[in-house]
Amino acid sequence: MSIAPPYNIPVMDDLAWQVYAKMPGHNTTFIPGKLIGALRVLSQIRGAIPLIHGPIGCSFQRKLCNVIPGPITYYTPCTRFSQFEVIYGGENALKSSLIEVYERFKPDLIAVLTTCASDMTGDDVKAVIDEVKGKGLLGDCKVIYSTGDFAKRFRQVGAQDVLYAIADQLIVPETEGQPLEEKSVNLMSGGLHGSYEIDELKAMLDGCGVKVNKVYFKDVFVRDLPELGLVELNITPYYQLWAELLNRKRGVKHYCLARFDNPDPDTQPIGLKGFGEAFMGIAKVLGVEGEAEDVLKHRLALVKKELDKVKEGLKGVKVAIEGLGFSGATTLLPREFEMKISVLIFWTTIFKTLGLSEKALEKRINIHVEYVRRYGSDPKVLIDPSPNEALRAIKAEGVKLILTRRAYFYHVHGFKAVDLSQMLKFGHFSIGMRPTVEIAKILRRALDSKSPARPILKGLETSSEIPYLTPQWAHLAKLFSMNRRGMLAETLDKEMAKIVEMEVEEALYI
Amino acid sequence: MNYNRQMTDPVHDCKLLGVIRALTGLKDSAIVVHGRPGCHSGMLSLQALTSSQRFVNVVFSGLKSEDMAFGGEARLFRALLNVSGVMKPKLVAVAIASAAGIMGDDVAGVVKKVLNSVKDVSFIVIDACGYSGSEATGYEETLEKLGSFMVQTHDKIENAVNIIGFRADEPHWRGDLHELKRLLNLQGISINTIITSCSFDELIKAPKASLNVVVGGDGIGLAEYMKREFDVPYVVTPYPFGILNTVEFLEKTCKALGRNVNYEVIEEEERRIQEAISDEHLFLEGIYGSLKVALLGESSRVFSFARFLSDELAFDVKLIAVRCRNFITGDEISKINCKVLVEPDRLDFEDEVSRLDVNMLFASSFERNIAMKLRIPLFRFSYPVIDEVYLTDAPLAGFRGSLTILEKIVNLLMKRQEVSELAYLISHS
Repeated sequence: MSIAPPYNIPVMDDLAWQVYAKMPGHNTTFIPGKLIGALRVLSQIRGAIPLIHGPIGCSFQRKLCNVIPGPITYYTPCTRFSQFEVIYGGENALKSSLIEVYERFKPDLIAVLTTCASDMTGDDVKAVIDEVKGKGLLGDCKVIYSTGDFAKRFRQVGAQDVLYAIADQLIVPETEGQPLEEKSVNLMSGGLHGSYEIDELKAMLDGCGVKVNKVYFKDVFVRDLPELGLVELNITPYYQLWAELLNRKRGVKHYCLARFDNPDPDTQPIGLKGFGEAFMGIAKVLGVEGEAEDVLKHRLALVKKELDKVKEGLKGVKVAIEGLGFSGATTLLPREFEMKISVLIFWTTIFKTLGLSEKALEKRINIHVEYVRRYGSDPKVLIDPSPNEALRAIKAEGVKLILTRRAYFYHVHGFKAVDLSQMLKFGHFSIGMRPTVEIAKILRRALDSKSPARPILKGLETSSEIPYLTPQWAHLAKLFSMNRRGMLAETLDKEMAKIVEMEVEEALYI
Repeated sequence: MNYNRQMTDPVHDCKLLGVIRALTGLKDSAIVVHGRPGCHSGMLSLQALTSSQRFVNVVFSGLKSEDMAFGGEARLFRALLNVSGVMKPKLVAVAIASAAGIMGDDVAGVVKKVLNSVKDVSFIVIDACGYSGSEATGYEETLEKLGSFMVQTHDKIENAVNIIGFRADEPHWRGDLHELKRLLNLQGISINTIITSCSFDELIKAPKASLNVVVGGDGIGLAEYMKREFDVPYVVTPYPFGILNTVEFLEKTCKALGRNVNYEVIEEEERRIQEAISDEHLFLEGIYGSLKVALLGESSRVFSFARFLSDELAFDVKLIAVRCRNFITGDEISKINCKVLVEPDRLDFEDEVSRLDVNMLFASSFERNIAMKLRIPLFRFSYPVIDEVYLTDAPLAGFRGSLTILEKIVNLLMKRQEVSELAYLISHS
């Protein structure tokens, strides 16, 4: 029996997501590995099936999307790498598996994803694909392969790599010699971290006479993929190599919404200001600035009317923000809602273990403080304070609302607080004006409601170094960062550390 | 079919997960995955989603792609020191994943060096390469390695048993743990050590028990080892799902200890169950003998669960699929009168389930899709369950567990009405 597409279901339910929102995973206690990103992309292309060239563990474990654990990648066929393949190579296993995947799924696209094991045996994946295709054993099914090398370490490696493979191995050859459609764009949704407000941007581009060809990857079929190489402009939420490749090889322009090369929160494409700038940036590339100005003006007027109603009651309210500085939604508080940032609390342990020097850390903190001052606040800045220090400052400054990753802690002490996880979906990629209104509503709700009488999480023990984690998870987070960087824990005394380094030197020498 | 069977979409994991699952529940331990981030993150996530989030203990050695050329020994060396210093575990298990295995890092050598600098920490090194074995192998090998830390004792505790083969990451694990203890206590039997849901000190003292009770047959290797090394006999019992299996579990345990079974206690338990059943008897009469079912789960659990469904609920068990086999899988199959698939390919399993026209599937979260496709309820009783949480002490095992199972089956069927109404609304909107 062959299985009909969609093989894997590209849905993340917003409410279900909330259950998993506090998993301290991605980049805190682990990084997911390249296959997760690749599988999320492929799940969103109807008719595409992955073929994992590796042992069964690479297949079974990857069913769980550990970036956002809700969705399950139900079908992750693999080539069942065993000791035999490790010794003799896995090319024959790949040949057989390609044919079997084709016969059993009848897909339109097979994406071969290599793993540590097959990367190390050095299988010539391309040659195997060419051979099997050449024999006509895969019908009209397209086959690409992704090894992680195309992405050149650009994050998210797995997603970037498979997208690059699609562009390089499928789109470029299939669109060769075909003209680009002027004033036509493709939009890319936000990938693993949620999607930005596509509909709003789409409607506004439409208003400028720009055709939004397709939204990738939202219910797209394999047959839709070549169209990524047939428009004037591809708009991506963050820097994506595949779009650069299509720019180089096909002349398709690339506009990247969020750039992480500038840490100033004002450069994020979020809120009315950020969105407006990004929208005009796109218009400039397409040469429709005049039309865009009118559309933006009209849209701004509409949204401002709604926002002004919600914003009333936010303006001038004293807030505290604790965590890692301004990012995404919190950026809007001083700039768009004119709230007063009275206390800024920075937790630096994670940054330090990630390798940020004291100087770099200071620079980062200064950028955020400077950002707040730009919008009329003069906050009290606390760095890694004790719980009592934080509470004292918040009380002394007359703070009315705290944005934090541990709302329950402040509720216990009678303060109003919003958990930042509620705003995670309005992250870097939440371009558009609607999210601004939604965020304002969340803040208003928090201010208008009373603090819980007896928070159920009251008894949760927290780490003194990373206060939004329990001690066990804080250990895992520290160990993850230290081990990745090859650092030694400060629990070892200096004498011991010296001996250890000598041992390491010796081990490396051997 | 014009291809050789090579490809698979497995229903079970590789050796690495078996290692992790054997150590999940060993409270003062840490597991260092010496491999690439994918292996580490997969293990950490599965552990965090299925077991106690208080005791998550999977740590990354930090192996990077550049280490593939020069080896990851230096990195592992630092990581082991860090783990010992930060988490202060009593046991550190180093699980060698595929990348490090192919590179051929001298992990045992690294551990030896670490032991020069670290006191009061024990280490084990386990080959957990994905290509070198299945989840079941990893589980058995790890338990046997744990046996090497046990200490011979001459002061055996009378009527104290160890439970072997308990996993602290199965659905309702906490409830099952309490129920197993309660059942044995009611028979005047105490529990010495539960492997694995114990501290390292409790593990070391496991040979004090008079008997090892191997539930469902997982961990027989360790039981054999303990019999050989510490003269602790063992008995294999069914995982106590339902009344029949629970009584058999108690009878076999008592018999092996040379004790009489306290049937009065059992009768009292049965009376309580009967009372609860009588309170909802109209629903239970309704479902009795009404369903055709398929199951997918560990060998240690799936056969006894199927027995409960067929012998006590009169369900028609059409298919049993074994996720991970163990040493007694063959014996279990010989007692069963239905189709059995052992560690099948997922696609083959789905083919078979589709063909058999069953009304309910008993499996894990990873089988959610086939249940949805066939529009049948999914009863999550098998690992991994990542979309249900178990905060209460409601067990699936034992006398009390029988009621939980009945309750869940009835509720799943009642919920079907809502599902059908939703489907109607979607198709008519």
